[in-house]
Amino acid sequence: MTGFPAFTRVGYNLLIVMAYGLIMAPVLAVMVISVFDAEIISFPPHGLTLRWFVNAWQRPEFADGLWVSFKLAVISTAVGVPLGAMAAYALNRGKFWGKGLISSLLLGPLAVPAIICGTALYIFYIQAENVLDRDIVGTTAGLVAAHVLLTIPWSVRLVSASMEGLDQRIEEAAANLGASPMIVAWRITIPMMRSGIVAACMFSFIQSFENLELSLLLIAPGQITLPVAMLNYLEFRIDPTLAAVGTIQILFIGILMLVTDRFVKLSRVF
Amino acid sequence: MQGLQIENLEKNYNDVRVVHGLNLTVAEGEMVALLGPSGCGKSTTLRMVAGFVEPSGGRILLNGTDISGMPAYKRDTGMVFQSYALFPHMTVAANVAFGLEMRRVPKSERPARVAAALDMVRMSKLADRMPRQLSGGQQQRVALARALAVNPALLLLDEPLSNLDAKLRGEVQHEIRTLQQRLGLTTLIVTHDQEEALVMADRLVIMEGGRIRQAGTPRELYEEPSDIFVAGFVGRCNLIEGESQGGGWFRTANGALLPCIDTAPALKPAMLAVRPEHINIDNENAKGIPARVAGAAYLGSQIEYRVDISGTTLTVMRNNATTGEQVLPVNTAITLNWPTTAARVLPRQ
Ligand SMILES: Nc1ncnc2c1ncn2[C@@H]1O[C@H](COP(=O)(O)OP(=O)(O)O)[C@@H](O)[C@H]1O
Ligand SMILES: [Mg+2]
Repeated sequence: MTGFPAFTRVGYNLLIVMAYGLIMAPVLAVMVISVFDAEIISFPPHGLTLRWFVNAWQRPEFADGLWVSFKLAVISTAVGVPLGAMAAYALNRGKFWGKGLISSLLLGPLAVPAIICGTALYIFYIQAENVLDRDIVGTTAGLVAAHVLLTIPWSVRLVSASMEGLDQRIEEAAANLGASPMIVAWRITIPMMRSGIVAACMFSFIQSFENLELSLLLIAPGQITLPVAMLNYLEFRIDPTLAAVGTIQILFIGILMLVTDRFVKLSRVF
Repeated sequence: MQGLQIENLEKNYNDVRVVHGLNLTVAEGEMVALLGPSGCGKSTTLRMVAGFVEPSGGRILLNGTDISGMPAYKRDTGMVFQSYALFPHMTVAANVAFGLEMRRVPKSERPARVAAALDMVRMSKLADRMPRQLSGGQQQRVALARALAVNPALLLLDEPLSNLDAKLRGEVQHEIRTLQQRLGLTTLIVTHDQEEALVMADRLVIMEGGRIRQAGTPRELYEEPSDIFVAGFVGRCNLIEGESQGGGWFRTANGALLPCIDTAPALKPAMLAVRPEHINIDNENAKGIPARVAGAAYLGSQIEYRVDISGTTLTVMRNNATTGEQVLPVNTAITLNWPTTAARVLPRQ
């Protein structure tokens, strides 16, 4: 920024600080409130405490919800990322009619508000139940399928991004050395897409892990996910226990991102 | 029959023909260069031989077997790409070992073969590096070692040196040539750089617009070009418009009468082709073609003159053999002459 008057530079830095402040404020607020020692949130706090964390830990719905959400996110990621990666491969390498249409369809769930997706899926599942004469709403399969829908657009996008910079000559070189198409895909293409695939796994996991809108309508009675458990809790009480749960969720995702970043530089994927 | 034979090879892209009925042989142990301007179909031809592009017609035979319909991974060729195309997630040694593994060389033999291949290109010390840790020249060597390690029946090089700087390029040209001759590799190289082709190849094939213009040794192409494209593309050449009168005389469009090879038939319209270094400059009173200096440039080892013969401008290169040689000033009256065999009559296109 050489050559700019000092006040421009100050203004520029101020803008950055404000933008970050705006983005981080809700996250920080949740973390701060989680240690306030008062049922009703007031400022300044009477004192600091960890009792909301103890409370969150002792209430079974949160511990169970965390476990259910974790399992659901792992399964949805394990199903969604391979599907998304294969779709991305086909879209980048294949020559077929209707590519643009398929691409928009796969990315569609990103553009539609999740609550609308959830409602539409719910209605669709009910109709399908009538036709197929079997349960779908409230089954694990139905819930996983819905969450896979969330993970696919992220997988397609991130894996596509990592394929675009990929020199196709490298795959030709492998073929030239005697590698059949299957071996080229397994030994060359997939390893080169690694950063995209790892990033896709992480974002898919997060999408599923924190999803409220789809789960709300589709979960089975005994299988309450963490976000739904939090919403349920809110119907009866409002105290910083939720902030404590939220803090745990934020830290969990934050650690996940840091660990991922050690394997692939996330900044390189975007 | 050993070596590579290409018969009537054609390629169309969406009704646009980019390779027209190409015929070409590379004898066993021979290095042939496909030389031509960018976009003339060289890479497409090479990629059809490697199996990355499906021909629209014609046949490709390697050591007597028709490989036209064979998938790329079953063809016994080793290719070096312009971008090197090293596997970025593998070490140098693993890059070289990949082809050996694919061709089912026993695991116990691989380390020795990898070492031998890397040794050939003087890259043994860097075997454990990743490709991104290498310079362009080093990557190029690894790409060559990777292709050579599998002992291919045919080595294919697509502009392998065009990403190197000029000095390094010169060295590597000689190195590849020496290696190719020592190993007796049947090689097809693609390049748009005539110097590269002249330095490296036994035979050159000049392509233009998807067709072969002329094939021959560097000397044949330089001294006996069959058309003005080849004359202008290989080396520098003065091309003078006019008509051949037969009997060893050529009349320029401006009316000057110039000596030419006396076997040339009467041909009009025609072009007279004379290499700049075949033209002698003599003093005003000597026997020959009267001319005038229109410009001069001192290039160190040579002096380049622009000379004017009654309205036709030619380039003349004179060796700067003795120190202190004077550059003739502009407008000096001079006389030009050349051996009649140095002036060839070609059809105008
Ligand atoms: N995949 C392709 N689709 C359509 N046209 C192509 C394709 N590949 C090459 N061409 C065209 O074929 C011609 C020859 O290309 P190429 O063989 O790469 O030329 P060179 O290697 O001599 O520079 C060019 O006009 C190029 O635009
Ligand atoms: Mg090319």
